[in-house]
Amino acid sequence: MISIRFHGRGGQGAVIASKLLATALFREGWQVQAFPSFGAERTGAPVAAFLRADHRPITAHYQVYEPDHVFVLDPVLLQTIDVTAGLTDGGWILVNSSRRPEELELPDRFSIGTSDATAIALAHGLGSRTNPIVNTAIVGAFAALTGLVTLESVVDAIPDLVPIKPDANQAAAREAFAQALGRRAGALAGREG
Amino acid sequence: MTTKVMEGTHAISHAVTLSRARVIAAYPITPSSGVVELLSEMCADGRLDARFVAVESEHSALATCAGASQTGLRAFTATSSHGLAYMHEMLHWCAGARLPIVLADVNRAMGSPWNIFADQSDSLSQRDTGWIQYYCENNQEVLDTIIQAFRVAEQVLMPAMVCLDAFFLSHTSEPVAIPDQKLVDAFLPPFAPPYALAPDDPRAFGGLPSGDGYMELRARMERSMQDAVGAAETAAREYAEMFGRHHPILEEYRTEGAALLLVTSGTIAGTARAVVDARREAGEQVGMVKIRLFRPFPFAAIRAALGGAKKLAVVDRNLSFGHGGIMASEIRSALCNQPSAPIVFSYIAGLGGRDVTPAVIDDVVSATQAVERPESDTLWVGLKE
Amino acid sequence: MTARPTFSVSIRALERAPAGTPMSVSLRSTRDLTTGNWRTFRPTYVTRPSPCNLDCPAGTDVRAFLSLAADGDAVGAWRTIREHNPLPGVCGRVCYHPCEHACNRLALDEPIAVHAIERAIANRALAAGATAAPVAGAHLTPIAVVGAGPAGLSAAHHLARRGYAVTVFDEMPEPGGMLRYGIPAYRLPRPVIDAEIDLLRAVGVRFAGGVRFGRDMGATGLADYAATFVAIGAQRSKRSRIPGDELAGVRAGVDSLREVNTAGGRRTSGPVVVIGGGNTALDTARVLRRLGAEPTIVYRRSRADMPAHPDEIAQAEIEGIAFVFYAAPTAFVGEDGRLVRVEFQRMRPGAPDASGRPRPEPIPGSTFALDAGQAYTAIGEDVETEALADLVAAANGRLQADRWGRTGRRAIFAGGDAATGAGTVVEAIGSGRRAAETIDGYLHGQDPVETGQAERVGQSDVNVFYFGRAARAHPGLLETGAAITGFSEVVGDLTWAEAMAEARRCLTCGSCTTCDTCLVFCPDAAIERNPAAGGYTVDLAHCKGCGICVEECPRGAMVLVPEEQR
Repeated sequence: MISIRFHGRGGQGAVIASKLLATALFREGWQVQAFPSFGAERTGAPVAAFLRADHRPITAHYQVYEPDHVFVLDPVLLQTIDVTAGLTDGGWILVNSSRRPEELELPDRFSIGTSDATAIALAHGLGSRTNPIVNTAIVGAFAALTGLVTLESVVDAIPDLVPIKPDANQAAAREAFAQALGRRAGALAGREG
Repeated sequence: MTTKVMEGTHAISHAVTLSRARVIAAYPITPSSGVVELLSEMCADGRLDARFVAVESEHSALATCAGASQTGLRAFTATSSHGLAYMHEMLHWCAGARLPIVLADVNRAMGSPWNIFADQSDSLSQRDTGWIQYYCENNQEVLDTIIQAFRVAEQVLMPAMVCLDAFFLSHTSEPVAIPDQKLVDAFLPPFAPPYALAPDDPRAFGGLPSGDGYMELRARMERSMQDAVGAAETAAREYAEMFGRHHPILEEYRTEGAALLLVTSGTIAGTARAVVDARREAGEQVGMVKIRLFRPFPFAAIRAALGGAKKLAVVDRNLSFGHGGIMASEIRSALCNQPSAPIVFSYIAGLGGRDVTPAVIDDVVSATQAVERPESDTLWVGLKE
Repeated sequence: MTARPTFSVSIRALERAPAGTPMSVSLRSTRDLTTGNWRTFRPTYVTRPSPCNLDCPAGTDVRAFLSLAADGDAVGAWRTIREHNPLPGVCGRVCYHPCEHACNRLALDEPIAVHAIERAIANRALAAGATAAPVAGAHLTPIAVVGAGPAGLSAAHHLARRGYAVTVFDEMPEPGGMLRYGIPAYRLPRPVIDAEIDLLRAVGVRFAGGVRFGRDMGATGLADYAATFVAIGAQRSKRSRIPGDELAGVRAGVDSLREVNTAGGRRTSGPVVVIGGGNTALDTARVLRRLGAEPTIVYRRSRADMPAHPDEIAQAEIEGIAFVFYAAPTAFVGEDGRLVRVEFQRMRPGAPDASGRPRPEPIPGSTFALDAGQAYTAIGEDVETEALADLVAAANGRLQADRWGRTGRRAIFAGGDAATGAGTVVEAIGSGRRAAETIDGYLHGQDPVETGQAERVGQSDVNVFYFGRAARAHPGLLETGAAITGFSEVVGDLTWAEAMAEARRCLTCGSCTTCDTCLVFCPDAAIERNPAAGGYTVDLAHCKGCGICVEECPRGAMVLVPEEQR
């Protein structure tokens, strides 16, 4: 069983990101479960979404408290909420950011990834400058960094989940896959994560 | 058959389409809105040959379904919480008029205070209206149950309600197998009521019965409700034969030789499976019984499944004020006058969507094991200081 | 029972559960929830120009004077008009009221009858003895105005208010220009002109009549004046250049109007032809009708293309004047040197010209004639630029001056029809006001400042559903028999009560009227009345910037301004 938490803001596409990754994993034979944080959501307010994947049927239905990996769709959230809460040591924190992983000053016990998903989204005409739709790009970056899912499964799952501009979204996922930056946990101390 | 990752609300929409409903009337309410959002699209783009009626209230939604059903059309609606409460008058009417409408209720807490999260009190406070009630554990079961509910309802001419937990199912995406239409058509024959409102055969329905027949009609309704137990068992079994998925009206999970049985419903049952597995691995005689069909209450199955245990730990995500957990009290009534009835521990948990994790259920098992008898008729799980 | 420390949650009988508040209630005042930090846009009260204000060539604050009229304050409304325009009684009658063309009330029913209200304001204010506002400072610096028409009168008014000693010269004995010598009395009674000119005299304006520039005085005569404003109008009728236009009985409409307005008209009879489609044509025909003739107006385009106001065309029809459209004169035919008939070529609409109207083109072989002993041409008037040749340069028949009246020559300014070619009273008034401001600035060493055109409040900015439908006021007309047998005013007055009711139809676009809609709709009760500031205060600690107040403002007097980037 792996579990993943997605942090974003209402309207950014965190929920679709969770469904997209779930669908991609399902295509590769995983049993999956994806759900949003339960609450009344407002555009711009911090939101979360969750994903479970396993090779056995998932019967339990409760929220994720100890994720293996975390997505951060808006880097400003790093200042306002503890995205590492409950995160397993060695797990990936994948941040939508134009900076390099080591520049984010996140604890070395986690693996840090960055993807300039905003720039990629805008380059492909996804969303607006104030509200870029970054979910397809950042899932592409996740595939590159973790190897949990193939890029092709992500790309194949996009038309079902993102019926608007599927081609541009697929291109964004491919570009993010190619450009993702990662630093494994313990790299600073010379350990393998 | 194809399998897709989808939300619980959309599993309902697909089931309604497979069931070839002809009239859908609904007023959207969180967290059930997704059901009718997708159905309205399906009606608009031709995937479903049905009239979609957007109404001004839940009361009107069910009244519209009643009219449609009275003319012999298969009718469906979906709602939640306050929307269901607003239907209350029409719930009684539809049952009394013997209209086999199917209603999907996303179990959500009742206000005040406002709360949009999982809680069975909305549908359980309608338990005496004459509706068949199913409670589902996962999205696959939701889809399968909607199809079965149409068949059972139309067989006994009583309406049916299919309940699922808010967000834990309604907004959770998980793999759902969509059966082939041909097979569903074979399982669910066209709706053919014995009497229907029709201009070429004018009849009066639901008027004051002559000759003081009300009590007899009520007795026939109750008889039909009792028949629904068998109809539901048959439907579940035949569905399993055709589609390979068996959802018993009362499921016994690893109950063989169990001294302690967890009794649950809805998504808590799914979460409890892992706890039972762990306890069994530890060598403990713990099992789980899931109530899927709550109305009619399956007395015989309950007595057969629970009568042999020493202790029952009933977890209720609902409450009857001044009484306690509703499923626990119904189980107590079913076991009354039975030889060597188990001791019933009644737990209230997860009201208003409070998370019921495997750890919480494990605590319930431990608390039940720790004492001979409960210190109180009702025990509350996880109240904060 | 002892506690079970290994449990993740408590499990207990209700009797052992902690007590707490009995109901769901916030334990602190919701005032403590300072939701203002959610805000990305700040609602702001603004005053934006209404269509009527932007469309008035004289720059009148129409919205403001309508508000005062709605409150019954005729004198206040009158003073507000006169801030820009010294001739409300005149404009209330003869202005074509472009202020009404884009009135946002069109989204609901009909525009406000601004002109009728303006007229009622002038009537009531003068009847109440309203006087011109006192002038700031002594009348010391002398300024000459050449031409006592609406542009000259407007300039004189604004200069006198600024403390200048203004002398207005005019060829005609009495001031007023086209108001007095062009427009007939049934449209503009002479006492109305006299009363408003008397108010100019009251603030020290001197009028010197019977002085024609170039004949009775020259450029040297202006040497004593610190500045001169030239606004001689357009008086000379264009020649038709059609064979026979020298015949007796063929005249210029504008000349006949001047004659009637100075000497009174002579009775006449029989069919007459009036050629043209503008004011002068209508006025000429209607005057002739009153003198006993049977006029036919012939115009080379359609009725819709006529520059004359539709109301006046309708009144002319009621008065029995015939119209022939799509016909152009080809010859005046005489016998013994006197006109006996006019020959015409029928026309049809062709491709659009520069004005956007279809250019009339002849229908080959289609001609006709009208018998008439008199014909009047009213095809436009020229400026007598040659009289000013040594004062102001001319081009294309107009004096050369910019929007501000600057001619390029020190101390010499020009405006009105002579410079703009515009041809309406209200544009002449606006031209005179701008020139007065320019002269004042010139004498203080300042150039005029161009203010950018602010964005108008359009129909999409107002919420018409906050306003009930109400029919536009229509003043009564003089009974036709009486109208065509004399020169009594044709269009009647609104009573003051009718004028107030009409003014209350105004939506007051773009200006807060403290109607409380914002306050009522605010979901956070974050708007408070602030009478001291004349409006409201937004409680920024609680305003979430939802914008409902801006959306609901009935009159577009609120906008959302982005908060500074945090």
